[in-house]
Amino acid sequence: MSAHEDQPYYHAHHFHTMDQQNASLKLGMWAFLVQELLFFSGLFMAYISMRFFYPETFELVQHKNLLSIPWGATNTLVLLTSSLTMALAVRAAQMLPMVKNDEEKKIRKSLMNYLLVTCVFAGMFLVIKYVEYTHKIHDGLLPGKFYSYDAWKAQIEDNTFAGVVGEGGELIITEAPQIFFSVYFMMTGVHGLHVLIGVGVILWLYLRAKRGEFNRENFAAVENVGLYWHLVDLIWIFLFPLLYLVQ
Amino acid sequence: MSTSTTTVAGTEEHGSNYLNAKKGIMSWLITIDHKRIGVMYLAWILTFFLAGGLLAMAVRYELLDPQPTFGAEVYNKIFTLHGAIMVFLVLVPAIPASIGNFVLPLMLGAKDVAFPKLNLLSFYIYVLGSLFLIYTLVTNQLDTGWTFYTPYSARTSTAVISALTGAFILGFSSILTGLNFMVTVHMMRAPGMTWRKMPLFIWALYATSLIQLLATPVIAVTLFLLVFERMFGIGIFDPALGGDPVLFQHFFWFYSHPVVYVMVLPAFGVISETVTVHSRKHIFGYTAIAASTIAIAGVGFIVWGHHLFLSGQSELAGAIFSFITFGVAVPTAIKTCSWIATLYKGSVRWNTTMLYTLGFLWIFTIGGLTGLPLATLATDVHFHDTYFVVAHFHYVMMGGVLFALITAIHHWWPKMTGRMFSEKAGKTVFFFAFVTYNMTFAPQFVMGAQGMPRRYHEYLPQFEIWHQISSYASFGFGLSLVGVLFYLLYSLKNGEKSPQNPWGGVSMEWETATPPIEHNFEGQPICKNGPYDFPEIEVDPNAAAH
Amino acid sequence: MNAFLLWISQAQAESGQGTFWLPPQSSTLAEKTDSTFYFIYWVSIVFFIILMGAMLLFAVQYKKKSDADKTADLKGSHVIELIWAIFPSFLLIAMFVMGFKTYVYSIVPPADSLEILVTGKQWNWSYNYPNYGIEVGAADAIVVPKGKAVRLRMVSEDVIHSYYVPDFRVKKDVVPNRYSMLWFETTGELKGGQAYMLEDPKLPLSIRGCESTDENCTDGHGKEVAEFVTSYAKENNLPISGEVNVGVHQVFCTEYCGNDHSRMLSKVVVLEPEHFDIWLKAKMDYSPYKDKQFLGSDGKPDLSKVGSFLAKNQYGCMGCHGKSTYPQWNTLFDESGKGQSRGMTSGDNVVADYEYISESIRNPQAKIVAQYANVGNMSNYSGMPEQDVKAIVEYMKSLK
Repeated sequence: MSAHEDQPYYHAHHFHTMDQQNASLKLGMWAFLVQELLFFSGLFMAYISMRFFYPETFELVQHKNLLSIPWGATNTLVLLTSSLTMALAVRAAQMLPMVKNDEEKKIRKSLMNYLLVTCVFAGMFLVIKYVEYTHKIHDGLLPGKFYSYDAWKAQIEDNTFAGVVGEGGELIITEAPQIFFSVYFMMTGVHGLHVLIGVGVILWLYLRAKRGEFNRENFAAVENVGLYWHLVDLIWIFLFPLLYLVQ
Repeated sequence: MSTSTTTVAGTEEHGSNYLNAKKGIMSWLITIDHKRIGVMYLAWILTFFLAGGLLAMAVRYELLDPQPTFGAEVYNKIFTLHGAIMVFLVLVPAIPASIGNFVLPLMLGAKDVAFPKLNLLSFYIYVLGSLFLIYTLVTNQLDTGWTFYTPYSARTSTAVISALTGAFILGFSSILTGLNFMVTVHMMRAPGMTWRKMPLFIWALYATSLIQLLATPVIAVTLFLLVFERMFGIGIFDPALGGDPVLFQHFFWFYSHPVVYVMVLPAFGVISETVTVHSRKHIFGYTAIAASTIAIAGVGFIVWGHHLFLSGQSELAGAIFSFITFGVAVPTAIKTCSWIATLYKGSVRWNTTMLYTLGFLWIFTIGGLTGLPLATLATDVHFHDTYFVVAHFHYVMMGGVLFALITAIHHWWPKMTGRMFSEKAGKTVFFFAFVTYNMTFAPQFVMGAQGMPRRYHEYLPQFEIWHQISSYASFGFGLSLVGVLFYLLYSLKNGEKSPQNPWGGVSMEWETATPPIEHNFEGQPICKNGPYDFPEIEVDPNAAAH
Repeated sequence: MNAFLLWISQAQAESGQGTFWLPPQSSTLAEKTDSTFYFIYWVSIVFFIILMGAMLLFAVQYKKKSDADKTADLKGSHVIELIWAIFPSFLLIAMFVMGFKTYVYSIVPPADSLEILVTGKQWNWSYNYPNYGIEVGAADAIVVPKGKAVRLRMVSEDVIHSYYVPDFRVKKDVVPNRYSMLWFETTGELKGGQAYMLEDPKLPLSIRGCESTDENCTDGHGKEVAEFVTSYAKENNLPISGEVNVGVHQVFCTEYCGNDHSRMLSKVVVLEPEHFDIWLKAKMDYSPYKDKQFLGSDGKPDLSKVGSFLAKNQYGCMGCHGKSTYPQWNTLFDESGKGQSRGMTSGDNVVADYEYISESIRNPQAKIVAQYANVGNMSNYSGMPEQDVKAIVEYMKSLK
């Protein structure tokens, strides 16, 4: 019959060799990432279109410092660091010996720590985003029809408001920054969701590492989740300047 | 012939096959066997095909009379749901998810797809997506047209959000299936099977999987944006909120044009298999067909603007899209000519499978040729949004993909079920289906050219005769499909037991037991021959190798 | 070969008569579009016959004779494949070029074209002639001069519509917040003052708009325009040579726009240029308040009759309110002209009076009668002049 009984538990029996399995998993993850890129590219297209139609709105947001660049920059640093710790985790997994000896325990501990630290940084990112979001909600800077112009009342009163106010004192909707905030919330929201999912997956890896499931032959899961994590980071690297920095 | 190490005899010798290896409904629901997953997909897809088909009958019934029968509101929901169900629930997964799932690993000499559990997850996601569409059906339905054009779709009070969510979820099923197939083709071919020795059905599924992977995320984000437009008024597509309705069309068609190739490329792959096996000849122009398949997949991504010639897109863009659309016609024509040339000096079996293959060629040729006036700018001005377009896409999608699906089901029926269906029933029903199919849709070309617009439930009396021919023929066609279902199901209990290789195919799926054992092959099969090296072919021993 | 095919397609393109495939050519564009179509058509027929002929021939000629059949070892032929890839490509390029040239013709209107503004809204078309200050109401036809270029500048007030005149081979999507344009120059003979098709009782009521036995039924567009021109010319002693002949061409909305998409029809009525000039004058002078038909016994305009005209023709109200699925007017006021009460979606009851109706016309979403909560949104007619509102109210009061 087949060599099933000789194969380690992590060798799926529809694959003939571990090489084939690992190569397949990696190709699969790359394919998944390409597809994620295309999903985000749709959102970037939305950004580009909205920016093209309403450049004054975007300038206005910059001008009035409606997005906190310090928080955004901090988040960028946080995510970059988490990518580093994730890469270190992958390296640790790659080095795990096959035999469960003391060295293996040490390396496994460092793998677990790196995974945990990555989660902590990701958590920081999410907390900072939470802080930013609550500020926006408090100021009424919400997407679409939930936008309230209370934040502008003061400016309208002393005529320094740069948008357009209608006769009844209502904000003329097509000139208002609620379009910017629609784009902002959608893009950072979808990105944040991916960070959250990433945290869940990395915690799962942590539990598996704890159980001793990985070794230098079987670390594809860590490596592939690493790839995912780097993409999530990369997307933020584009989001940050486009939303926070561009004049 | 290849000399693999698989069991060649029928199921008796091995004692069990994938159908009876594990018993009970749970064993099906949590299976990771690609064959069982393929069968479950087929059952679910055909159920929705029935639902979409009944809606089609309702559409045609309304159109029997120029005066309203069901009335505008009901009709608008009927035609929308017909389109949405047929596109998202039936045509996109039709061949890849059902037949593809079953056949791909077998044809490659593999034990399963690369990610069997992901495969099961794809199926669960498909079912989940379909539940959202069922929910839409039973609550407020949908009346936006399957194309969801804004601003109407941003403002109507029907159950748009649940429909969009359902379609969004179904998209993920498609993406994951594509991902799975792509990796399988790259990584799990049997030793000896180079890319150039792969059956063309695999090339087709491979190209399809690339499109599924790359295009589907774009519709996902489009539907997502539309949901947010409705829920939050974000102002991207609705001009009253500051958005651009034509932007929606660009986003939408960027996916929805490539998706028609997701539907039709596997159909082409099926035809390449059946036209060869049932005429006992090599495919004519293997390289050209493989290259055309990839070319169609690639070029299909850059022609979406031909749906927007009259929408307010720039005229220059229109001209460019028109030109590139003609570019897509060339590889398609090459394939059609190649299939027909394959019959030359063959030994053509006049069985049900071959009849449906020939039927496909007739129907697809008409469908393809009628795309030409639509690709041409000046004539598209006249034909856009008329019944001419409706007839064109039904010829390529429904006639093309559906006939190919039926061809595939017949061709691999013995392999999947271990039974032979009645050829007599098959051939009889074929003629009836073919004639009624053409009579349903050919009149629509004429009315469209005469000016009959799409999506009308009331119309001017001069179109009545064409509508009546179309409607009565459609009822007949529906009956013929019921006939197909009937004799196929009948064969499950009463059909002859199938021999191991009823058609004499030489691609690797025919080396397995019929039906196959649970893990397809014993040990590692080796691919020794090309997919179309039939024994009947008179190879000249003195000639140099081709 | 190309020349031969082109010749065949020109021969097919007859003017005046429709063919099996296409409606009568009634514009300068139509001939060009049709030539392109027939070229593609004949090329397609030829290729279809070749391909299907070969397929059937091979399927029959090489039908299996026995299990001992041998087949040819034919994997391909570079020569043949090049031929069937390259040769059709030339024909495809020819199709593209023909289509492109005609398309360029269709998108560039002549500089001196007459501009007419078209407004599409759910579910009717209305027209405005900006150079003349003429409004053509929602149930009326757009009137154009024969043989002169006409340019339509179009916008939608709500969702996407599309303006399609099959006889002219023109079509363009009509989009909110943006102008789109199409142009045409009509050709062909004009017929006697009968609108074709319209007196056909088989036409759905929704399209005819009214029973042909109803003497106020004004859906005989061509006839109506011809009579309008003739009577104005007579009254004002304008010279008019011969009968006023018209061409009438169907207009469809051809982008799905909701419930009454199938009913969003219109007509183009074509007049000889001299009659068109008279029509322009007549329309500029026209006001329903001066129309003899609508005068009461005291010589002053009978507002209920004026209101009827405004509701049916000018503003197209009866397009919806004439159908039972939408709020009915005859229950607004009783026999004595007293307003009736209706329950609104807010839960309040409102009595019909001038203020209520005026508000409902200008801002229909303000108060919605409960039983019609889901029939769709009425566009607002915020620019309607006071006197028109008064007239419509009188009309409503006159309804039984």
